[in-house]
Amino acid sequence: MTDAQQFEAFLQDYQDLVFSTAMRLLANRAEAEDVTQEVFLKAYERFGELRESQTAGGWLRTVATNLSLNHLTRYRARWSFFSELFTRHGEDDEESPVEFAAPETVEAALAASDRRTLVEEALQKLPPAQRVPLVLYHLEGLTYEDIAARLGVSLGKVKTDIFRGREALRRKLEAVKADLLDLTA
Amino acid sequence: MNANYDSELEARVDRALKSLPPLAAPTTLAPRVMAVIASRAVAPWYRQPWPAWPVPMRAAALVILAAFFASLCLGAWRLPDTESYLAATRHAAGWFSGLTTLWNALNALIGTLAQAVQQLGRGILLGCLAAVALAWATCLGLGTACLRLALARRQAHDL
Repeated sequence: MTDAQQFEAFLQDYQDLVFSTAMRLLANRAEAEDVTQEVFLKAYERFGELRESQTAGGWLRTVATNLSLNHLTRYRARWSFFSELFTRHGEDDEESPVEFAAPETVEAALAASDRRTLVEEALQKLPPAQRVPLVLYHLEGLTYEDIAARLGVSLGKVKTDIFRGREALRRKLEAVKADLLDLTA
Repeated sequence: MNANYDSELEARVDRALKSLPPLAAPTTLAPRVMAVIASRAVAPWYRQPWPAWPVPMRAAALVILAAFFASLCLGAWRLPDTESYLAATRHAAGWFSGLTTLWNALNALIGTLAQAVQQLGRGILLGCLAAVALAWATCLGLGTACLRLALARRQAHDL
């Protein structure tokens, strides 16, 4: 097996993990795909170390998180400045539920896998100011302090945005009768 | 909102998010990455990142950079004693004398303006300041209104 073939197998193993990390932070498929490509190009430069490493997944995830946050700050430089506007807009949006297939398929839509899809959709529809810290806290395991430092905002704002994000997620899911407690059942 | 509610909500959201399976990457991703890698592999060494250069080229680049740095240091050390440097300094001083004249003229102009402002009454000055503040507030208000309108339309379009 050549190096290129080994790397392709490595890519196939980890592409979903890296893409998910980028997608949940960016909420945009094209941007997430670009970031994923960038992550794997960096991985290729260090493939000698990574191919034998037990922590390759963690390394890829960290790089994906860093590149996604760089992408957010570079291409959405005013994200932080406008985050309050987005936040308020998100709050105004309380009554808009997550869209799902059709009324007659409600029962089927609440099957476990579909409920996870609803959570995924609800997460991606959160305003960036809420989604990004929420993902960093719950999925990437960062502390409030780390998130504040990474996003360049105050600790209080991070806590408020995460709380608002959880509330918005709960409201969106309640609107489609998908209680958060049931989601893990 | 009490602490129990907060911690219960945190735990529920945590469970819900951690139960999410990975999202499937687009099928075009792997071919795209491999194509970029293949195109980089056939690129000449000088168009590749420095770590990918052949070892002799990296060594040569280091030697050249070190020599360049050494010559800069040597130049900075020995140059002030040379005749050409002194001549260049005198030439530059001529340029700076022109700048000094310009600076003096600017100072005189600012002084004149300051005196003219002092001659005006306090009421006129306050009026001008109020007009500037009002114009600034109007711009800010209009800008915010336009932005919110644009965001609201974009959000409505997305939904």
